[in-house]
Amino acid sequence: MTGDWGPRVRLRIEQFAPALGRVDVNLGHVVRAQADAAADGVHLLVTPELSMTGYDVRDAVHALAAPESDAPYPTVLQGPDVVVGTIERDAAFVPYNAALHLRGGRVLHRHRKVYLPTYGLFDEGRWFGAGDGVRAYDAGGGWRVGLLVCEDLWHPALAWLLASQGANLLIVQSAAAGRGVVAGGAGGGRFASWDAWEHLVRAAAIAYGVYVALANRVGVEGPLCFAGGSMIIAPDGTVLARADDLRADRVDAELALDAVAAARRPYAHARDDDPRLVARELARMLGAG
Amino acid sequence: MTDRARRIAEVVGAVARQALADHGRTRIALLDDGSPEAELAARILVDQLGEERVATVRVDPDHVRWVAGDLGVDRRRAEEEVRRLLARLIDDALPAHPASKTALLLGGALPPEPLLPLGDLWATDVLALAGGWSASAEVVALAEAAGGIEVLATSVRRLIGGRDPAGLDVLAGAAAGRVRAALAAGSASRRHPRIVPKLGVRTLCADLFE
Repeated sequence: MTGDWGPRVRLRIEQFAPALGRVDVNLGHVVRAQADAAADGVHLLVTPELSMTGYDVRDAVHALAAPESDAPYPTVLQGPDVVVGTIERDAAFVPYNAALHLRGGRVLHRHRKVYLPTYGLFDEGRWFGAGDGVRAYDAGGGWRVGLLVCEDLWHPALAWLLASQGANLLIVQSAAAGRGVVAGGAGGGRFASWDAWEHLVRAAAIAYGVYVALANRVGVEGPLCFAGGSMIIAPDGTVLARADDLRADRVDAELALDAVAAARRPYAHARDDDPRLVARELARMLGAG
Repeated sequence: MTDRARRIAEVVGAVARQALADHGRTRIALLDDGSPEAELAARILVDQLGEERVATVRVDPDHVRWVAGDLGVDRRRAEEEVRRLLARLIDDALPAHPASKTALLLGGALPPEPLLPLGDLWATDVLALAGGWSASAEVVALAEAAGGIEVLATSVRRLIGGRDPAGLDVLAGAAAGRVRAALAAGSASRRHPRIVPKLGVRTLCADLFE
């Protein structure tokens, strides 16, 4: 399945609980998941944010940071493509929260998390450097992909930038803790924060006519329960698959370029969108400062 | 059990399980003062972890009467400290205190137990889940001054959860001042984290506030 993407691809989200600080354990999990995915005809396996390292790494960030390299991941060589979350450091030894699209074990594309939440329960700005760009890239078979990591999706300009670069599949990794469990009345119990995530991914899918795959993690670190609930959204906003809340799970969906075309056909949003107008207005706003 | 109650129990249980693993302990030693909070915490922890992994620590008031009498210590405080000591004496146990978020925020310094399993549930949540609530006499008096626990919880929730500086404005002037003073009294201890399972928007010791 390595790299043989056609107009239809099978995507799987591997929702699991990465072990904090245990790259060997997490890599072993991903390799086993990749083997399962190969047996099931999956083309792309997506794992959550920081799936190689765990989330709350703190001072271990430097020990866990691998030097940026295009050298192959030796144990992830053959089989379906895999999107992993890891910590990379650049030549200046700055560590980044990074999403890597691996094909044949090599890095097909890397995205460094741009927006590092440093408020409330989050402290990412203390540990990581911030990425400074987003790029859509070709994955073959007519698929053009964009990667985002968690908080990046809460800044809609990034999804717009990827869509404007022709992306038809957005992959979002996250390590989103459950919040608001006491909301929703006695019959509630779903994390209120997860409703917000569903609105965000469905809105992006509908507005840009793209598939969105959101891979969230589960497990516990300190006081945080990561909420699971990963989902795959069709370009018309339909929820194609939703993983279990709180528990390890894997969900698949068949993605088709025909569905992208069908979702965009009734509208002219992609055709009429005008990046030059945005550039002009941004130049005016920033120039005015 | 409602979906909400089940989800709360799942989160509390998962965090408690991880806390045991992180601390290398095998069971929770829950301070049990007979309150609705203690009953609720015990029910959740036993349901989620199993009976063998939860020890409820109670004291016979007769056994601490001499402490309170001879030393002139408040009886409730003496009982609490004896429960605390007994919990620490249980081999392989991680001590836990069942206080609610309301009691923790308004009751002065946080208890020293490393795990506060109900620490992100307001007293009103405990009321809904357990049919009653409790707190220190000072906090109960605050609730009465505020016009009831619902009014108090709503106003403090607006202040803390909603980051609304005017959150206490619904309270009568004197009550608002007393609530502010109570919040201030415990603020220093809240800088030293305990494990509070995150359930709400802004959680003691998980989110940074103050």
